[in-house]
Amino acid sequence: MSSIDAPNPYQTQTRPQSQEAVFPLVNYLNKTGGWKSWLLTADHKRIAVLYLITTTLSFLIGGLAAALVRLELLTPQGDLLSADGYNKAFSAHGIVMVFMFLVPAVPAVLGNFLVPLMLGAKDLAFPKINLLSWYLYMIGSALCIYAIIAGGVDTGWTFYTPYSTTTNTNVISAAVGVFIIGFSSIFTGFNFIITVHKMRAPGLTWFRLPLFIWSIYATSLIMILGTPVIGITVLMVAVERLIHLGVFDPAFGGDPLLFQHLFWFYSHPAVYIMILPGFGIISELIPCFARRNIFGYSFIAMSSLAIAMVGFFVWGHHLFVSGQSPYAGVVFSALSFVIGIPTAIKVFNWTATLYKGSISFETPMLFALFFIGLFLVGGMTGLFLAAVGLDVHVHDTYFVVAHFHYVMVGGMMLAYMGGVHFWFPKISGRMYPEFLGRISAITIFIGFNVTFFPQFVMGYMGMPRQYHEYVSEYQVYHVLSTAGASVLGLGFMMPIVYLTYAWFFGPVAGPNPYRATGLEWQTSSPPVTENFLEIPVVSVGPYEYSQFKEDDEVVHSR
Amino acid sequence: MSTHASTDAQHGHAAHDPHLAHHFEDRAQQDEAHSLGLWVFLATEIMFFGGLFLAFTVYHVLFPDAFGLASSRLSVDWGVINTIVLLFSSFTMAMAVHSAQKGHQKRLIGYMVVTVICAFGFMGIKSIEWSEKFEHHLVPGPNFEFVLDDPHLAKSGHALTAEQMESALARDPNVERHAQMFFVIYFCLTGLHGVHVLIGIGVIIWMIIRAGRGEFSSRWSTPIELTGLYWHLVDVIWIYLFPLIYLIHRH
Amino acid sequence: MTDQASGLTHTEEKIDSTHAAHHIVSPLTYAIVLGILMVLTVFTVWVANLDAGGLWNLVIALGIATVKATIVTMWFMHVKYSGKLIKIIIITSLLFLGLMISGTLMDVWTRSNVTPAGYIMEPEYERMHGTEAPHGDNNPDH
Repeated sequence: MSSIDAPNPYQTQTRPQSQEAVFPLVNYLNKTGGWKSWLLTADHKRIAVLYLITTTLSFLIGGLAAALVRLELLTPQGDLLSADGYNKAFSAHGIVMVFMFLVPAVPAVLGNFLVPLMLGAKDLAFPKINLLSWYLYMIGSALCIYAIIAGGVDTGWTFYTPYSTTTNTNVISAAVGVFIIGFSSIFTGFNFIITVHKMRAPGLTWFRLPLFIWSIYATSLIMILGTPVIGITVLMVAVERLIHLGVFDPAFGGDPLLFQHLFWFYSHPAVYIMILPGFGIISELIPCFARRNIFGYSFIAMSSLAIAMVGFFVWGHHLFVSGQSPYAGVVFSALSFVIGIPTAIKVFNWTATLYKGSISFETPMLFALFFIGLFLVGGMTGLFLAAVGLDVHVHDTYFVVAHFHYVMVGGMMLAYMGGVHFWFPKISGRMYPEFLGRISAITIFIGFNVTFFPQFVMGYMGMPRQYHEYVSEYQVYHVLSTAGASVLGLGFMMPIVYLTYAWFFGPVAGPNPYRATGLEWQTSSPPVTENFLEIPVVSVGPYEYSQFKEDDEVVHSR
Repeated sequence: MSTHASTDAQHGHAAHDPHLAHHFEDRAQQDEAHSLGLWVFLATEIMFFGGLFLAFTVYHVLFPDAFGLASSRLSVDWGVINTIVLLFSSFTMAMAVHSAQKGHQKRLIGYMVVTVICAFGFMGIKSIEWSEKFEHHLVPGPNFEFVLDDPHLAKSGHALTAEQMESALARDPNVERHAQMFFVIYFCLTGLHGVHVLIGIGVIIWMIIRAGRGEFSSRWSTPIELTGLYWHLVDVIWIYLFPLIYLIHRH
Repeated sequence: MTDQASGLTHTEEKIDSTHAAHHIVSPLTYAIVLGILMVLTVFTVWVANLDAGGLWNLVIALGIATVKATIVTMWFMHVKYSGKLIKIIIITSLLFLGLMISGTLMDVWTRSNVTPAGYIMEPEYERMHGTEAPHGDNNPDH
């Protein structure tokens, strides 16, 4: 554990990993035992592990619903599910994946684990509120799952009124569940903001922060400014259903478009809640596996904030064909193109970092490279949809479905997988099997493209979304898509199995298996409960990979 | 300014400070984190109420006549009294914080008790207003009944002239139905605000109990300060609610 | 009060003097603030009875409310004596609230000028169908 006592935290790692691979006898995982010590913990690392387990369960539930949807679409007839059943299946998929997985996954799992470590702090600013946020997540999720099991919800994840206020399904418990999960998300973001502001290690100035912290900070801003709005909105839907107030009901003079404005004021920025932490992960992975300092640090950092801000200006592009004023539509369309700029800045800087780097293709790097390609497709098709004229053509078709999944699965999910593999040694203290990791990355990449690329094609040809029957000329695309989804499902199951195995039986990783910079690698793996035996002092920027130069040459020559 | 009560002498040094949580370096860091945390929370509260304010604005723009006529059914007198009660409670809360910072235990408790009494007064007046709405069938739902020539108006001397009714109906033929939207948002806004007042009452009573146990001193008054900030936000929201729901009707 | 005045730079202050971070305002200031707030409350009711024409009544009422709210935040909530960060938080949240309201109003204000296909404002509904739009209490399924 010599690394902990070293004076400069960024220049301690000089020996090859095998000599250091020590599993600390006392660490955050085994310091106290028993289920009580886990369920009542205030340790951010344990809460991250709790979130890891529960969000993975949510992912499996959401995936099951997706499997039902894809199986039904194998044939043009509605033979597996009824129309109602199909509506409930895709609604379950959307609600579970969006609110119970995509929003909390990176911030609450990796963010919770890494933010204090990367800042050189002992914990988040409000450890008990952090635990409370996990319980709120559990209660909200339980309500959503209850709504899905006890009769289901058939509104889609968007809860559009007036359908959501008149349908005879379990909208109330799902809406209250979303409301409660929203508060869990607010508390998480709130905690991160205070922690980043007030708990940085000595010498860790704003422009020495890792880019993951910058993106988590930007995400937290969206969480605290946007989430309250969705909270009050779904609450109004629930109240409207309970006592028939008619806030959004046209029969009372209510305006359904008001619901859509309120909903998308949160939910468009919310897709940046999902993708921004992914950007942060990629910004950590690329320099590490290209062995280079990141290119354009301050541009990447500021573009995260810009995305968070500009993300709030564009919500109206979801309302182009809903009856929004065309004047507003044009303004929102123009603003939507603006958000392409900070996003493109990031992609250019990542590729510039790769240039002349000594790149190696470990599992996290494979995920990162796949991310860049797939996110590019997802982002660019987003610009198609932001153009009013084209959106009228492809709105509510599989083109939108494909775009969304290229950003959310091809983007966020791959970044998350990359991040989980990258920090798995830190979280568990053990290495994952590299070969299986690469196989699963390639499987996911192939399965993903086979699933969703055909959806672009059929969407452009006119296949509408949310139908369980379709004309037979689209069948070939649907069969391709379902076949791809099976491969994709296999690709996601593999890591769940081998990571679980490696958690208990994997080879000991040592504090810094990748020779990465960053404070989190300067403590033992897994870390001790108080993170650092001695609070580190920072004197250089976050990606000084030149310090490993000699060591890197030794590794490469072998 | 001798504000240090003698009982504080035992703590105050970081190493033994019983109020310092283990993950903070010192009291300054902890206090700043707590106060920043509360401000961030208040920002989320602004956005939370913001959704309802947006609904109010949109329907006010869509149905200006209905909103004006519906607003005139509220009692401005009660509104003014409640505003004054709440402003006064904000003052006593500020004085409570002041007493806490100065280490005056009894004044601290006294001012908080007055604040709670004002808060109960506010809720009492609110419930009188709400029950009047029930009696006048102005609660949205199946019993809602809003007519322009309501006899209650004649009693209070606010009856509309035939011309006024005609011009209102000419601009918005469904004005009587659209008036319900005003009351929907009225009950949502004042209800949500009322919930916040009730939470405030709970927190302040909790603080009174803690102050009674002698927990606070000139060196440790953060919980009182945070409670004060929350209570002032409740006041600020009412400052906006009052003109929006009571005073838009005059013309 | 003077020895407590440096509320801004408390990061540098010693642990022993953290209480100086909390600014102490004199009771007299609080009383004056309360007085001003009361006067403004009465004033806003009096002004509401005048006909300023059009939207001006609303603008004046909200303007007075903003003055009152600013006074409460500045003195009761000590923002006057707080660091920049607190001010930035308040202004940011208000800007985003303003963004939400103005973005939606951009739609609402211009929507009635045109009738896009599929969305019919209520007065239009009646003009076209010659009947009242259905009432919602019992039959909200139109």
